[in-house]
Amino acid sequence: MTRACFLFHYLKYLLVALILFASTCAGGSISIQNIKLTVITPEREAQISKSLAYPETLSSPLILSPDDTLKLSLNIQDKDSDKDFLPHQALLTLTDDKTREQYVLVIKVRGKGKARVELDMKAAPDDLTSHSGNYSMEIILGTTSHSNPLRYRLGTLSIEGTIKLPPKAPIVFGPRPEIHHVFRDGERSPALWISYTFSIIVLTPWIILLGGWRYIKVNLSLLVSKPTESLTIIAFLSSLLAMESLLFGYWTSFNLLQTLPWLAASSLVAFMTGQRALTKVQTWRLDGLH
Amino acid sequence: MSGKPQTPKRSESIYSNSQGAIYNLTPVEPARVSLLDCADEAQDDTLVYNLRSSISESDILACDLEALVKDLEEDDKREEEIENGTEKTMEEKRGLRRRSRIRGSNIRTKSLHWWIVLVNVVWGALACGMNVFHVVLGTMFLLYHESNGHLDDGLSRNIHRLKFCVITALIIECLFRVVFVVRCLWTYTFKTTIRHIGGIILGRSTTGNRVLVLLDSIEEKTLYGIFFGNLEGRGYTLTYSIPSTPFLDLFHNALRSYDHVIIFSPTTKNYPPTLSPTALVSFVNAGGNILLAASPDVSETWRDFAREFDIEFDEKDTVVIDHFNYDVSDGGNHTLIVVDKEGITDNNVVIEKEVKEGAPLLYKGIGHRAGSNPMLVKIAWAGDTAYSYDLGMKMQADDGTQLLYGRTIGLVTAIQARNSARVTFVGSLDMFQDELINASVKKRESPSSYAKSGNEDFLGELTKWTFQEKGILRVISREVHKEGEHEQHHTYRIKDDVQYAIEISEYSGHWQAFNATDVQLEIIMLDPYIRTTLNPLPTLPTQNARKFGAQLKLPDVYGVFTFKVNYKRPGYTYIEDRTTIAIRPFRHNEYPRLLSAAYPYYVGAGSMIVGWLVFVIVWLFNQDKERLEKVVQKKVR
Repeated sequence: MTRACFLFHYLKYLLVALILFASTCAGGSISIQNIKLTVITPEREAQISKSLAYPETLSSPLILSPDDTLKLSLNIQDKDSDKDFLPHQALLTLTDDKTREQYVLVIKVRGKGKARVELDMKAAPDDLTSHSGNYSMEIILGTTSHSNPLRYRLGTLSIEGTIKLPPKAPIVFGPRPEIHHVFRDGERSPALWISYTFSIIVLTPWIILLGGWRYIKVNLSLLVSKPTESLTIIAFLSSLLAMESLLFGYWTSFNLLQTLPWLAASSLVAFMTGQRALTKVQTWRLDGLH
Repeated sequence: MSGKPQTPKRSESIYSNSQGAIYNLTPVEPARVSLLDCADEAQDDTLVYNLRSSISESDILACDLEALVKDLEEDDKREEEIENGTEKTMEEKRGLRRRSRIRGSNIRTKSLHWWIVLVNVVWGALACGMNVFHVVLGTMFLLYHESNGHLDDGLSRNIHRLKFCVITALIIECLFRVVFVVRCLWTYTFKTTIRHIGGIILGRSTTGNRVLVLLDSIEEKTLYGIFFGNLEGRGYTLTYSIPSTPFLDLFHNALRSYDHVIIFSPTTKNYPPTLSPTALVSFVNAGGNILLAASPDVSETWRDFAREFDIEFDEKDTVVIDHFNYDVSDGGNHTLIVVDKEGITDNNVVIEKEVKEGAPLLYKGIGHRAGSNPMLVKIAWAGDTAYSYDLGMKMQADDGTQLLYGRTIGLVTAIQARNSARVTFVGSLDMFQDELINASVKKRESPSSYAKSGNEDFLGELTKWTFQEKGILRVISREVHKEGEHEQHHTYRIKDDVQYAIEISEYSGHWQAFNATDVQLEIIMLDPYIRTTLNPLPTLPTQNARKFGAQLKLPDVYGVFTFKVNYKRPGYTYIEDRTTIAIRPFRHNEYPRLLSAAYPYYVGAGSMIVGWLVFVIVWLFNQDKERLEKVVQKKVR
């Protein structure tokens, strides 16, 4: 009795193990036949039709224009039993060769393993119609009862899109393009030689002045003849010179508050020395020297 | 439930949230994102604009400008405080706590702790010894009195009573001393030791260590023994609970009661309002991190919660199926899928390279679709041939556009909110179980097999990242100064040559110098005028922060500018650092003095001045010889 029971259990485990083994390892595989790709063009009423046998791929890319329809039909069978079955996953995927983005179409599987799928470009999603380019077509068949799913690359499909949308860049955090500030151009000044020429022209009256002075024999003989008496005059002139240089300084570097006290001081000096200088000049004139 | 996809229910309260800690979750167009970025400055900008117009109308002196900038900054601060309300204060508190923790790991503080321990122990031991001495002395004294026995009965009884009282009191005090010593030892040695081991050697979260674990039933926690054990080993305190527990609240007195929440209860339907998606979102707004694991029967509550973060779990009862990439121990459903390095993010901050290239993961659960929000970090996704569907249903032809397929199936996706809190969604609760952690991995038709799945290492990395143990950035300091100066002013002149430097530190177990070459500085007034990449400056190995600097010429446009470092990279916490600087035009005396075009005018003015001086000299010293001769002749005559 116990022995029979043990045997029964043993058999049961064996059976379970066998089933598991069958489902995980042997599993059975899927076979596909009569693969037919058709591109229907409505205007020309022409259609390109290509038949393929399982491991083959298309020799040249299939071109799909905006109004075309792509049709794929095939037969799906269990390889071992040659029976029809419905795979849980029956998909036609189109993978963009550049972006690796995938578009999926579900393959309709009917009785007797007949399967078909249609891609009408007029009704296709914008993602597909806006992205012209080469897509690789793949059939993927898989199901839980079979451990050998099928992944079969049919070939290349070249889609001619209608809408030209700018490529949709995903928003990602990352470094952004650098911006360099463009500084405004400085004010344009005329050529340097013009400035120099006009500067020289501005200086030309000196020639007339000096020539005139020479003609009327201008001299500084009082400074030579009476140097001691002209000291006050020299002081007055120096104060004038100081004032002028102070104003030059104000023009180049000092500010107003720095300049004013010095200007006040030098003007006071100029006032006082100027009075003396003029007195001196008056005495010279009265003496008939001037 | 398994019908059409549910339209996202979005509660008003979350979206009208003025704190705005969660990014705008509706899918956004690129143009709108830049607008959103700009919107940050919107407030500054209105002020700036007013300022700018006022400058252009009248000549504001530099000092006025400075005052204005100060006011502006203060206003900003005030507004920020008002705007952020409690969140701000909590952020500060978190910062304080974080800082104190950092200080705790200081060697100087460590030695100080040992001194305290030593003093306490010695003092305690001495006090203890003294007490024993007292007891012995007191007893001897009483015994002595008793042995002499010359006392009457009443007094003897009193002495007996006294003896009892004294001895009891002394024993109690002695016990207190012992307890005190033990407590000191515990506080200052064991606790610090644990903190040191946890904080320095193994690394710890910068948010905190209080974790709330929500389970469908408390008994289930044994299923995730290894996972929880690892978390506890890293110093986390786990509190297990079921969502329907009354009085379970994530907040206590408006402060977070927990730092992290692990949601392992996918089927929960009844939850208190304190655990509603809205409450969880406010938990995230308050800086808490969440790890949510789902399963094919995930309830509408958690779906709603995921929708808040632009993550949509696939329909009920769907599973991720891959007939090509399943583990051989799979029961025949092809749902125990193997995720190898092709399906794991390249981001080194989130998942380290060694873990990514180690043993593959075992995943069994639901898939999700992640939106295009840039704050999402896609961590793991399915293979090219995977799809998400109900195993018991036949696929319909019109499912094509709805079908979750291939690499678009998200397995693990996280989002980092604007306040850098992290929320991670994992579609497989089984992934955390000891069973899958210990399971061996052998992919179908693959020659290589692994004795142990990569789940443990992967989940370790994932929780480290989610619970803010790594990928944390912090700005230590920033400075703007003129070339040759070291002081920062409020105002600079247009076309000034300035130097900018920002010091950034990274936390991954400990604070260290941040290493990157893509930190950018923007100089913004309404629009960015300059965007430049900052150079990482060399750092000593002892320094735990790195400076990133640049030399730039300020634009020739005046107004109030914001120097902004907006560093947002997937995996790292966000940096948005702003410095407000006013840029003023040239003063009247700062223009060039000698223009070549004006040479004739200078020469003219100069010649006039010189001419006048010369004329004065000549007029003063000139002696008219002819007139003098005439005068002399007159006199002679």
